[in-house]
Amino acid sequence: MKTRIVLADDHRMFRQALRAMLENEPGIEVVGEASDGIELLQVVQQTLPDVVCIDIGMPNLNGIEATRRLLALHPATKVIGLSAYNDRNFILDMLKAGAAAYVTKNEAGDELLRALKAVRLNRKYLCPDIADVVMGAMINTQEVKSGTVRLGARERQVLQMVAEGMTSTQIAENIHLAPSTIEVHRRNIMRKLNLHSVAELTKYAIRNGMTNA
Amino acid sequence: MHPGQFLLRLTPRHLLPESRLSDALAWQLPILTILICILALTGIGVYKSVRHSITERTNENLAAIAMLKTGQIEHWLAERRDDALLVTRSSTFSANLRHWLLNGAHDGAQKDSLLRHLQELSSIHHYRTISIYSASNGTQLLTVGGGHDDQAHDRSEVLKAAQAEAPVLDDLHFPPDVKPSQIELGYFVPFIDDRYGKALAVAYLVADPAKLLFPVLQQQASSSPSAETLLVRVEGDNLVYLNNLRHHPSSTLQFRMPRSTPGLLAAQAAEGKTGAIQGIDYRNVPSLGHALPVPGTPWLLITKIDEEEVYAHINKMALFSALVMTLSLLVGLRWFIEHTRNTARIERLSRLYAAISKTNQAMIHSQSPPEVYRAVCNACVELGGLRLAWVGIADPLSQRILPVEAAGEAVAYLDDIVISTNPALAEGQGPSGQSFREQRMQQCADFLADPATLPWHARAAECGVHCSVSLPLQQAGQSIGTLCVYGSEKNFFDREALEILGEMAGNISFFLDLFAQEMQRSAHASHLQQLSRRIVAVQEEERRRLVRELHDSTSPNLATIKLILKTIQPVLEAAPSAAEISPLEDVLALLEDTTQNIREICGELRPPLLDYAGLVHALDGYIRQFGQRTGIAVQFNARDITGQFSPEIESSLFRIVQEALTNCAKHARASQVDIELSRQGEQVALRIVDNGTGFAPDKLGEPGYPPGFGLLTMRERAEFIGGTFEIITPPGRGTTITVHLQASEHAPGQPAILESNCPNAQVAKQADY
Repeated sequence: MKTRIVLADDHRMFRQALRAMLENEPGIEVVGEASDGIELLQVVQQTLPDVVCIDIGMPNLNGIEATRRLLALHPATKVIGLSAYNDRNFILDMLKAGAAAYVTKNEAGDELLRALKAVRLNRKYLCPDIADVVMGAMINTQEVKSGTVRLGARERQVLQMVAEGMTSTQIAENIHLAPSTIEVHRRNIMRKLNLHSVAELTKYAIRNGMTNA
Repeated sequence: MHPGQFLLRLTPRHLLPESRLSDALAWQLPILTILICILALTGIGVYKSVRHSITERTNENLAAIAMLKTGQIEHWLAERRDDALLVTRSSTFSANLRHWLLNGAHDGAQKDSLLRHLQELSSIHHYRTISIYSASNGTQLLTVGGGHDDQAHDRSEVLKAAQAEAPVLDDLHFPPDVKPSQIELGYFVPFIDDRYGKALAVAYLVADPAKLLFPVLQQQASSSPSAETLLVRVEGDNLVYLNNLRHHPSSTLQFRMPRSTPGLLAAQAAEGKTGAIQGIDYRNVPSLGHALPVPGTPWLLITKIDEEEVYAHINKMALFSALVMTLSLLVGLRWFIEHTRNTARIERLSRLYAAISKTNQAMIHSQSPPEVYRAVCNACVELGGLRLAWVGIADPLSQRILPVEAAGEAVAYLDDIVISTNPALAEGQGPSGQSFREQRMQQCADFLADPATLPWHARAAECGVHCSVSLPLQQAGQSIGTLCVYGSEKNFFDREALEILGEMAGNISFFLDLFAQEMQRSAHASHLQQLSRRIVAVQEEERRRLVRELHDSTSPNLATIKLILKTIQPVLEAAPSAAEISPLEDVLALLEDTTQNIREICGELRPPLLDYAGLVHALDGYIRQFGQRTGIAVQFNARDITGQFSPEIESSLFRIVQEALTNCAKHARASQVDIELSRQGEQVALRIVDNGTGFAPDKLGEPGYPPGFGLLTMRERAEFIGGTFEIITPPGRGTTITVHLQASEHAPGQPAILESNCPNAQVAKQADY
């Protein structure tokens, strides 16, 4: 039996892209779409889906309020918060309203699928970024970083070269990319690892056996 | 009003303390009077005592002279008597006389011999006449010298002497039918015949007192002009002055005064008073005298001197002293009056100064011209002692000066008063109207006599107003009204008082100018504030709009692109060899970076949380992001903040923190920042402490230093919400920023922020900016 999903987002293109991605997945069926909170309630009333992906910033009725009302009417429906907001208050309010999972739009691909699986198993799910924020809120420190940092292949390559003392220009020549792209990778790495200098990057690379320099 | 600005104009003397000099006068006058009395009494006492001692001394002198003269007279008389006795006791002469007499007095030769003897005696002793009378019938037997002829008198005296067998004084008298200068004095001396034991004859020696006696009397010990010695004899009810009086030439025996003349020295002596006497002399002149009876005679000797002469010196002294004293007194009195007048003047001036000082104080502290007018009127009346003071403001429509403030007993003067600024009307010709038009002080020294004040004479008389001063009040060089003060007497205001009043009016005008400027300034300031609020509101709204745009459009677009890429990833990655890293990964990295950048930009611009959950949550989120981005450890503490402040305060405080953190990251090289937001009652405090390098705030903007706009913005933001901004940056020891303000919280409201794509709602919500 396929999981029946309704998508609620005021951004039509995003909705379509999401729908295309989800419909590629076996066992998932998008049964309805809504562009605001009020419309969502009507669509849910008509389609009675298993899961609803709700954006927070929507006109007429915002995602948090819509979730609250929706769950009051259909408590069995699973709600996944799918928003560009990664601020703690939005996340917590969404969870308080009854959402079972929260995924940032940035992670709408794999993470959303993981979240779908989780909620189907009656489990809660937060994508890693969000988990960081929520855990940080609970223990009130910024040093928390989930152990789920995953660097991509290109990122590992760049990190290794940085640790070996190469400049962005050298790296760019080496792997035939624009220097600005190398800069982008560097920034992404530093963000993901919560590091702020080349020295820290080098230390991390050595510690993780990524370089023999 | 800026006190400093105003104080600059005030000279220190305006702040003189109010003095109460007139109180001193109250006790000065009686003391002066008592002093004068004491001086006068002392003077009189001294005068009396000196006069007494002079009297004593004079009396002593007079007594001495009297005694001396009496002695001399006595001596002279004794000489005369002795001469007579010498004649009568001369045995040769008396034997010859007896012999001649017994022979029937016919022997011519014997008579010649006797006469020769008598002649000799007369010439030796300067007797005017020497005669021998028969003791039995008193007929003249012999005579030498210019004898006179008073038979009857001589006979009785001869018989008296013969019977008494002792010399008889023939008192001073004028011989009959002889010139008055021929006064004479004689002695009848009997020749006692030892054999018969009875008087044989009587010798009569007549001396000329003018030759010796009177010169002796007239001889004076001193060259006193009024001192003289008098010889007096009682004759019935009269007193006969025997010697020649100094002031009555040729008065010998001819000058008489009645014994009953009161106070007459001679009369007193005649009454038996001897020694020192006091009274009037024969000229009715008050005199001091000394009376002594001359023994053996009915004479009374009186030495006297005019009181005037005696006391002339002391009287002169006394007069001089009195003159000096009176003069001193006059000078003293004049000084006193001058002093009193000066004191009164000074007091009046100091009261006026007190009034001006009070007025100035009022100007410094007051908020509006009416307050100043009230203070001026009250100060003039209460401190300046004026009967009435009022401030009138000109009404251009009615062309009248309308009283707006008044004080004093005579306020009734202003009831329904009509004062015009129009020179064509009688009511516009008064001092106030003139002063208003001509912009200068107008004084009415005698209000009721001035024809210009005719329209107000009746009410002025009723209210006891007698003089006035009207002073123009100006603003920006234009008369706007008048200050009028009234005194209860004519000429109440002297030159200095007018000066002070002029100064007072000048100060008020100055205040009015200042006040007008202040009003204008504050209007500008409030306009500026409105503008800056508007700018802030617009800026915040712009940022909000931009953030919304990024959130609602750009971020979803990026997410959509990423989704699509993920969807087609298997297709794209199928072609290249597995060993190569797919360019798709680079694209995704670019997407990731862009997404993160936009998120950061949104956070910087205006975090949606600020509207949604309030300052504390927004700060919390922002600080977290900031820490992640910069690696600076930021500790945030919010104490006792449960609700939300007004949007204005929330965004301002948020911006201050944002700016401070940016500074920490950009310039201060801080590794740790502590932020504390606390509230006590309505007192809200924000403290941002970093451990960075610090900086010198006054060097900001100079080459080599940060521009300092951030600091300025923070301060402006703090002041914009009515708070105070303080920054302490000891170089090298971090920076502490403190903002204090007053704000009340309200419970967190239902957020409306998430109603995206509905710009109108957003604007409506921010309308209170």
